[in-house]
Amino acid sequence: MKTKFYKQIFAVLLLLLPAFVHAQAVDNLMRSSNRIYVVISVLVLILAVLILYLIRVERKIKNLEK
Amino acid sequence: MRKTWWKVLCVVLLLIAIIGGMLVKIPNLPVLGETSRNLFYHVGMWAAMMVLFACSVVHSIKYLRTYDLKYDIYAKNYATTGILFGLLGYFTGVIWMSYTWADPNNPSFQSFAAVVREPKIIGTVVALLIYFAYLILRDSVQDFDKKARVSAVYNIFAFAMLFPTIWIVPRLLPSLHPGQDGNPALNFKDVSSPMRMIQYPAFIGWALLGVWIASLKIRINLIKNKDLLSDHKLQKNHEN
Repeated sequence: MKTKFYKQIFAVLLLLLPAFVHAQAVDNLMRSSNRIYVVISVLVLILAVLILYLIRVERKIKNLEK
Repeated sequence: MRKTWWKVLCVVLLLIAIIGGMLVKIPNLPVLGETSRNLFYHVGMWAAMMVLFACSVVHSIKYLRTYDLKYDIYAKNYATTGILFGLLGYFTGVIWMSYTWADPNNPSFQSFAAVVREPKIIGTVVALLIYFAYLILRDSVQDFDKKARVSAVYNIFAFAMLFPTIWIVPRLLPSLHPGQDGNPALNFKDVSSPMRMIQYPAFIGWALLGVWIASLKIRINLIKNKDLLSDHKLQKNHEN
């Protein structure tokens, strides 16, 4: 039940993603100084997903340890 | 192992490394240009590798003092994670080197022949091969106690070999690698002070990430070998 809820939220976020992207296009920050912030957001996304993955694995191990 | 503050610290430091590392003003050196930013990432891999190998050798010594198989599992997983970071450092170095050292006017075979003489590359390859041999040695011994004992002794030797291969010998020979006299990247003359503000958090962040991954691997292996570990303990108590 809980995972289904997360999946729904994720789906909604995924659908809303283009809206965020559009908001960023209007924003000036992402287009300033040779668009280095675009690279930063890519790197931060990669790091965030890797860390979330580590946390998920850690939770699973915690369950096994019980 | 159950504390979470250092994992939060790790994420914060890595965010500093990525955001700060991209935004910090770097001196525009000839040939290097913007690639100096690799200091935070490529050298960070080596920093993490050294920390993980140091943790590994500490646990090998602990094993030899107590003969508790738990420490053998610790040492092995720290070493494998260290090798992972070492390989990442090596291959990021290959990319960086291809666009700074290799002469674009020469055919690639010739510039390969020139670059591969680099003592830092040969040194790190030797160091990593010594650690590969550690894993091969482990898998070639069947008996658990013998495996743990032999590989713990070998691990101390492998850690000792790190110093000549990656710290001492490359410094005695002519090299293209920065940081020739003094510690690479730790020398105060090599790195500008704004970069230094990012460099240390980045190194600590990568090292903590390595320890985090290693701790997960250790916990999986402790669960896998639960029976073995408890049997071993019973046997030892019985002997005493």
